[in-house]
Amino acid sequence: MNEVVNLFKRFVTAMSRQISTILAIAAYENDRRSTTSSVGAWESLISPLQIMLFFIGIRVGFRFLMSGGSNLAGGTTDLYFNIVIFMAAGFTIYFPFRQLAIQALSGLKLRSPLYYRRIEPLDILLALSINNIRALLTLTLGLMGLIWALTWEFRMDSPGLALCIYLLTVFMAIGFGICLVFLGKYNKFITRLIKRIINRILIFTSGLFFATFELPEYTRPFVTWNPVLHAVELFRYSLNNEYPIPDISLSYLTWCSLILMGFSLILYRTNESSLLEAVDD
Amino acid sequence: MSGLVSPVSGEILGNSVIGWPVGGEGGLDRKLRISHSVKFLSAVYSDCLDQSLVSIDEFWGILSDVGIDPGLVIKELPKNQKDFFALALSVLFSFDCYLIPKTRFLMSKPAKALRELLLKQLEGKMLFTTSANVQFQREFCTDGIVLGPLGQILFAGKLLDVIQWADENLEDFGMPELEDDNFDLNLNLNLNLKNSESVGDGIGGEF
Repeated sequence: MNEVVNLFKRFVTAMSRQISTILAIAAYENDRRSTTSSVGAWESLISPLQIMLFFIGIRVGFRFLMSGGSNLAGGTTDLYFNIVIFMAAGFTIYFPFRQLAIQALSGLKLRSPLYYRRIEPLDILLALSINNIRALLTLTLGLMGLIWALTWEFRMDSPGLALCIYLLTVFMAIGFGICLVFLGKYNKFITRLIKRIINRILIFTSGLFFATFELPEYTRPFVTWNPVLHAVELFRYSLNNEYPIPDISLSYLTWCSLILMGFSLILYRTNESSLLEAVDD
Repeated sequence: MSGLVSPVSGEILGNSVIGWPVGGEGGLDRKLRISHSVKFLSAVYSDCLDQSLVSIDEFWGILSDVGIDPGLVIKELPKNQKDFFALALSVLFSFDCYLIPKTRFLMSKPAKALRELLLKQLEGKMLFTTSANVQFQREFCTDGIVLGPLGQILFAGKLLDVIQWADENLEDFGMPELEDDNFDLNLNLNLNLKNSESVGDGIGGEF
C-alpha cells in the first residue's frame, strides 16, 4: 500500500514540476518578446490581433466589393452569424494551429532553455502552444463579448461541443507541431518552402473565409480532407446549432486528432535526442 | 553527466540534482531582464531554491551592491556585471552536484562574496571541476583524477598527491599543463575533484 502511495506522490510531484516548468517557459517567451516590443507585454496579444483584424478586413472588404458597395457583411453566413463572430470562431481554431506549425518548422527558436537539464523540447513546444492558446482565446472571447454587447444577441448553443472541439484541435496542433519539429532540422530552403505551402494551404482550406455550405457540392472534397476545416465548422456549429455543416464530421476530426497526437508522441519518444541542441555557453 | 548518453554499467546509488555549469548563462536569452531570468529559474528549480542556504533577499542585496538592477536587460550589462549575475544565479540554488568548468571569474576579487556563498552551499554537496587553477583546487577540492588522452585514469587520489604526481609525470606523457580557460579545447588534464563531505555520495543522474 505504501508503495502505491509513494508512487502516487512521486507522480503528483513530477507532474506539478512539469507543469510549472512549462508555465515558466511560456512566461520566458512572453518576457523575451516584451523587452524588444514598444508595447511591452501586450505584444503577445497585439500581434495576433493585428492579423485577425487584417483577415476580418479582407473578408469584409471583399464582400463589400463583390456586392457593388452596398453590403459590408458576409453574404449567406449572415443568416447565422455576425461576420466578426464568424471570422473570430474560425481564427481561434486556425491560428494556434498555424502558429505552432510555423514555430515548429522554424526549428524551435526558443532553444536556449534546453541548456537546463530539466527542460525538454516537448516542454518548449507545449509552452509555445499555451501562449498561442491564451492569446487567441482572450482575443476571441473579448471580440465575442464585444459583439454580443453591441448586438445584445448572446448565443452559444453547445458549450460542451465547443470545448471538445477546441481540445481536439489543440491535441491535433501539438501533434502536427511535433511532427514538423523534426522536419525543421533539415535544409533551410526546404523548410521555408514547406512553411509557405502549409501556410497557404491552411489559410485557403480551413474555412476561415468561407462556410462549407456556401461551396458547390462538387468542390467540397477539395477542402473537406482538411481536419482543421472540420474543427472550424464544428466550432461555429457549437455556437449556433442552426448553422448547416454538410460533409463535416466530428468523428473524422477525432480520429485525425488522436492518430496525429499518438503518432507524434511515438516519433518524439524515439527521436527526442536529435532535438537536444542547446545553445553553448 | 548531462544524461544524454546512458551509462554502460554501474549502479545508481541516489537521485541527485545536477546543476548547470556554474557561471554559465547559455540558457538565458540576452533579451530577458534580470528579474525575468530569476523568475524563470526559480520556477524550474523551485525545489533547489527552497533548500538553498542563500535567501532570495540576500541574492538581490548582493546584486544591488554591484549595481545590477532587476529591471535591466541582460544584453545591456557590461561583461563583468554579466559574469557576476551568471555566477550569482548559479550560487543561489542548492544542487546536489555542482559543475564548475571555469574558475577565472569565480576566483577573481569581485567574486569574493559569491565564493563564500558557494562554499556555504557546497557543505555536504559535491562538485566536479576541470579547472587547473591551483588556488581554486586547494580551496574547494579534496580529491583528483588525472586522465589520459583517451580518458583512461592515469592517477587518482588525494588532491596534493594528484598535483604532485601531475607535476612529476605529465611531461613524460607529452602533456603540457593547461591554462584554466583552455579546458574546453583540450581535456588532456582532467582534474575531477570533490568536496570532502561528499565522499560516498552516489551521483546517478537526475530523474
